[in-house]
Amino acid sequence: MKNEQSINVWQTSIMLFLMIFANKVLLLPSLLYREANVEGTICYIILFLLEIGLITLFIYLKRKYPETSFHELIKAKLGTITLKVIYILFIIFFVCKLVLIYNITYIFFKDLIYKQDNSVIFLICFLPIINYLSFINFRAFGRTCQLFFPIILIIALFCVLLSFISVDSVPLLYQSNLSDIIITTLKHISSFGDVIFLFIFMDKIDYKKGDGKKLFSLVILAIILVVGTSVAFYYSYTYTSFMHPYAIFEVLGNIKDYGGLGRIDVIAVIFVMFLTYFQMAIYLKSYTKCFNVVFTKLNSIYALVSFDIGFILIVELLIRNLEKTIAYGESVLPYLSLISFFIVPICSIIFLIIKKKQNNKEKE
Amino acid sequence: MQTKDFKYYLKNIFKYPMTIIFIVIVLFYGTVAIGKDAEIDTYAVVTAIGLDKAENEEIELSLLTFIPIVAQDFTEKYEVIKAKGQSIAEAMDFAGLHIGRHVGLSHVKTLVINESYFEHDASVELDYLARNKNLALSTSIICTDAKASDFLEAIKTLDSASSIKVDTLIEYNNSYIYSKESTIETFYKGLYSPSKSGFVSFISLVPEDEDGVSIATSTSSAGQTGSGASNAGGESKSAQSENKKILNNGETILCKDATKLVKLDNEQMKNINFLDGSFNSGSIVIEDFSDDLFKNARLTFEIFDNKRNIKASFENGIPIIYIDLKIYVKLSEAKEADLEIKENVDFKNISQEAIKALEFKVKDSLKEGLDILRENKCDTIEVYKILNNTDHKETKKFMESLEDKEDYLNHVIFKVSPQIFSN
Repeated sequence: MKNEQSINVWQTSIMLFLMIFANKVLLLPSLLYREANVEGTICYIILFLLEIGLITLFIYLKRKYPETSFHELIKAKLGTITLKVIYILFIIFFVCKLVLIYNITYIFFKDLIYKQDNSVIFLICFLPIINYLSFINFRAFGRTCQLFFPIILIIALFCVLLSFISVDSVPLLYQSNLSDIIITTLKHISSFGDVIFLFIFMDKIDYKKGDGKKLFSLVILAIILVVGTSVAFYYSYTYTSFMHPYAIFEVLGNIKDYGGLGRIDVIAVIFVMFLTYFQMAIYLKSYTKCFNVVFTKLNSIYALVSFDIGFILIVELLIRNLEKTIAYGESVLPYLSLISFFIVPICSIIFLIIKKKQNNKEKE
Repeated sequence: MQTKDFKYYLKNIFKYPMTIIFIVIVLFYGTVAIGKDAEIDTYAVVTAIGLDKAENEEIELSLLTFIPIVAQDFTEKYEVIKAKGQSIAEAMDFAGLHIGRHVGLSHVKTLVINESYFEHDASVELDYLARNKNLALSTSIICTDAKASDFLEAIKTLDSASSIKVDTLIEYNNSYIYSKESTIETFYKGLYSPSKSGFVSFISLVPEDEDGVSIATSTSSAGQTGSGASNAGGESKSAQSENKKILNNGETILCKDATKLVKLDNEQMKNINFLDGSFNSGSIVIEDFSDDLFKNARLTFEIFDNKRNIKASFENGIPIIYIDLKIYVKLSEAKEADLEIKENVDFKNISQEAIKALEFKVKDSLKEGLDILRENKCDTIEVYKILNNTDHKETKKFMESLEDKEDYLNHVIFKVSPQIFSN
């Protein structure tokens, strides 16, 4: 049954495509190289496999409970208190991820373009728009994503394919051992797990049998583009990869510097800007939804106002430089990834087992 | 109908919150932008930086600065600004104070460093370069035996009065067989490579009667000078550089751990580049050559393409590197007594004897190039990387078996097979 606010599978795939890029093409390649050298690419592959696992779990859950929301499931099977606890954790998770994404983008723009401007101007440009995008209904937002998707896709393909022009030579391989790779993977696990928004909006996603192919086609494309960016980055800068913090910008910058193609890196700036707006809007939408589940008597306005105040305080008081942002991303956020890679899968598996038992009973 | 729609649209536009947000942002940014000073009034556009060592372990910084002047001609006006400080960052601040503007480094294309910096680990003293976000890593690095400030004075003349720019002087170094690319990026790539070695272009200031690029100057304005910290006042720049010429003949310094090991001339660089395969153009000369076409001739062949394939293998734990070099040449010049051109030179191919002579010459060059690298324990052709990427375990075993781990090039067998093809 279609409800007025639901989105189709293509719109879902587009949102997944956008979220697959979240936090992964700017700072992450450089940070992974710093700790795991070129083998940092393996960290990407491990973490993307986990993310694919989450999407698969969502599809199974959606098949078994096509019209039920995730919070209704938790409430029905695990009780109201568990629901409140899990959704409060979701709220914390989404706020922290929003802070991370905003900070990385802010520092990126501040370093490269707006050296003189202060953070207030930046906030004015971001907050109202993401507030508005999160306030409109889910279908309208899905359509907005769909409208901009061709532009984003063309820019993404352009950035990644062109970045291979600047490939210099094969980097030095086999410099990290298994423990380096595992530690680095765990340290940066918080840059992944963004697909849990699917669970939050489970009841608002139309899913039919066979839609999995459509869903995975864009997910796989996004994964290829993200991994491609990091490979192009490592092959372009080899030993100095750790000195270049903004991967997608730097690979295009390398073409500019050595290929004489002018300010081609501006395209990467536009790409990052588009991604940030949509990713932040999806996170904020998820936050609002979780807020409404926890505080049933308060509406979305309260959710947005509380978010804006909390967000400004966190951003202004705690983290506004690259060093602090990286420390925050590497030391605080990995613990919150337990929500996406432990709590959500455990809950989903419990619901699937319960459903299976119910089906068996009905058959008997 | 359309007018009615438009009126309806105008009436309702303010019902959408995004319209109000858009107007607020435009008004806010518009007002801020109008109120701001033009960047050219607040920033000094620096196009080249010079670094010398001053007394008391101070840094002497020179900045070739573009001064925008309203004029009808297209001549760009440059000034050399000097300042001293305990560190590059401090000297930059003092330079900014002297000019009364912020020092803008986004347009820097050239970094001239006095040779003395490379006597010890230059990366320590040049740390500022790695940390500064405004300085592009594609900035060319030039090492010079002259004072960097004098060098900038010479550049100033070049930039002001001719289309020859110093950054383009070494921009094509990488395509010639006689030299190497030299930028901040390549400097750090070399430094962080397994052998910690790399190349930096070396350019001299030579007297006016020698080869080189120079513009005769009748006037030379003195650069603004100044100093910070302990050294009050600054040595006023005279017009010494008027009588000097810049000479880029491919000289390059070979560095290990950012410290100069040896200065290589263009012939030595040619030998190393044959090993490296990173060149597009150059010449090979064979002397006293005789075959069916020539007698005791000096033949110059122009290289128009090359392909290098490098592979590695291990035999009984000993690493072997196979270099397969294909060079495509054409005869560009022949000097012989009583040489008479009887037919279209394009119809005559290079004889097999000439090809063999060329192959022999290239093989000799490869050997000499390898000797330089072995002698200095500098693996600029990344032999270690090739071995490691081919067989990581065997490479590890091989490295552990060596007493001097830095001297691994001397324990690797090279099998080179240059092949020459004519057009």
